[in-house]
Amino acid sequence: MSDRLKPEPVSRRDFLGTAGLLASGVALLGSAVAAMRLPRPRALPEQGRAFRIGRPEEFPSGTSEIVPGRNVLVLSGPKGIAAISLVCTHLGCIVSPASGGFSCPCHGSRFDQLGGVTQGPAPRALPWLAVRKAPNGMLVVDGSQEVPPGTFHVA
Amino acid sequence: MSTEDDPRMRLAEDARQEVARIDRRISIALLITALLTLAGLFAGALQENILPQWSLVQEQYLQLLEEKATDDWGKQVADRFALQVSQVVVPALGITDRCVSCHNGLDDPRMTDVDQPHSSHPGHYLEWHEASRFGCTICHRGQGRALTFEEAKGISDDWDQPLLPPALTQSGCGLCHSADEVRGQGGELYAQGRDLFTRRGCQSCHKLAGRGGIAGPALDAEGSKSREALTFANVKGPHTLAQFLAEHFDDPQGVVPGSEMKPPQLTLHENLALTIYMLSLQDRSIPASYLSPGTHLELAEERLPGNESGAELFSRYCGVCHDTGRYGRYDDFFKLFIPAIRGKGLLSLASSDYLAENIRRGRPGTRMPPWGEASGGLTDVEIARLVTFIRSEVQPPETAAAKKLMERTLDPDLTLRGDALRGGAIYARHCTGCHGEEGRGTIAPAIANPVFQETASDGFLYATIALGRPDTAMPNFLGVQGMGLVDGDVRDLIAYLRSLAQGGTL
Ligand code: FES
Repeated sequence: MSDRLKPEPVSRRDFLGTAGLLASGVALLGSAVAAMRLPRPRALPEQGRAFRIGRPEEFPSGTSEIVPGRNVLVLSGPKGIAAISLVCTHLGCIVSPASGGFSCPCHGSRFDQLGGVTQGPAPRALPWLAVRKAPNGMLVVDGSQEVPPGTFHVA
Repeated sequence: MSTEDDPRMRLAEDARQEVARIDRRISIALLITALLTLAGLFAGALQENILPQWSLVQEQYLQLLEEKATDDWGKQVADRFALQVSQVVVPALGITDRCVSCHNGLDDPRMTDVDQPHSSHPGHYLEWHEASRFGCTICHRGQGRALTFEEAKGISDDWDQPLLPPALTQSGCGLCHSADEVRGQGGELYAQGRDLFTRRGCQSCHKLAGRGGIAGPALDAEGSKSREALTFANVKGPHTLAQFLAEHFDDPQGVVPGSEMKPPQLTLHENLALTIYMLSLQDRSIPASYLSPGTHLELAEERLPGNESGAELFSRYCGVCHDTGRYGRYDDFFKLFIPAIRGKGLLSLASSDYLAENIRRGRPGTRMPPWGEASGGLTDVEIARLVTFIRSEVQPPETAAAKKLMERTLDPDLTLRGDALRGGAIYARHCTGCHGEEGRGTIAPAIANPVFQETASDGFLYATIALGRPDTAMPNFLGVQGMGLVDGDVRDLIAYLRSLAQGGTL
């Protein structure tokens, strides 16, 4: 008994014990981290947020056009082409063009022609979305990437 | 004092050693399990993040992008390229296609000269069909959700829509387009298949959109048949629907023993075209917003009388059996005598109403199905066009005798019928050979057939017996130039023939 309690230099047995404990600790930690990834799927089966709107020539300067089915207004001016989301920043209704800009049918928010709020309850301006040229020459609006208002894509 | 001397001390020492041994074993077991778990975790992390096919492919593609980036824009494209599972989701079509996780360069024209899976999509197809609106599997089939090429092909038994060989992809055109729209626009084979389908008279036996014969199965969903619905025992190639169709066209009886389908005798190219057309016939519901104007038109026409001419209708719905219709013939395949419905013999006696009624109601008990709107799907307008076409080559009878007989055919009933018993004896002697016992028909039509009995007047029977049917095996029976029957014999015969209808022998 007595010599078991005596401190002695690390024995083979103790090394084994320590290594085993350490390794299982690391394994447990690793599994926990891996398990935390599980609820986050790599891809959700939802529609992509980027979509093609057409060739740059189809949007002559000074025109604007709502992309059918996508709730986005494509604006073409001397500075280039931009896309403004038509989803109201209040509770997500779809705004429609009205005199001087847009109005929301749900709670009466109004926006000016560039999406700025002119009347509440919408808390902030309509988001501008990134417009890019795809490799095939088509313009693409990326709904997942917001850009500061006033950002135009230069063709 | 040495421990060996004291038995108690020795016992304690033994126990201590025993404990140490167990301790050591537990430690080793713990270490081994922990190391195994770690190795498993490491392998999992590798497999999930570094080794998946799509991830390796995307790294190669990123290199390609960097090589091809000649200007700022190209560099931006390369910079923005994220290594991730990418996919096309089209709720309207029920499509989730992850093909784009490996086929990254589909709409990048700079990638025409690189190898698959990086290369750009051939042709103008993607220019007209944005991937995000149509997906890939709508035309190519395969298992869109898969993330390895092997699984994406969907060749295994548990996926019904295996990836189509590239040559068959045009079958997708037919989901939204009419044949005429895609002709010369990348859908030639599909259009040719559709042409073959109508020209070769497939609808003589098969229904499509409610129109066609009844000898074979309806084809409305032929292109989406599941593998369970097919027997592959005699299919030499891969066990896919496309292969089944192609081999079946070449040799219907070889693939489906006992099939009653007349071999269509197709060239290699025609076989491909027809297989493509068959694959396009799917019961998939396509939202109306996807259908092209031409298809809307075609769908409308399928419901209203179309603008097909009588000749087109004839080859589409009658051709397989009646061929040109000019001659009565014995069909080697069907083992049947097929009447000459466009020959002088019939047409100089039969009224247009008789023809129309026989088309409309068919000949029950024979291979001639009813073609009226309720069954074969032909409208009265179309049947009238058919009748006009059938009559188009034969002028009304000219000789006085023929005219007289023709008039008689309009006579609903002969004023004087004869003796059925005696007629029976004459029938047995002269007619049984071809028309069968009790008019059941063998190589010649069945006289007992109810539709025939109802639509053929006594006068028609009389004239047919008297004059025979030129261009067929039916001779004229009346008088010394014929088989020697006299007027009374013919009347007796007619009386007997009429008794067959009441006897209900068919
Ligand atoms: S959602 Fe537009 S104002 Fe409330």
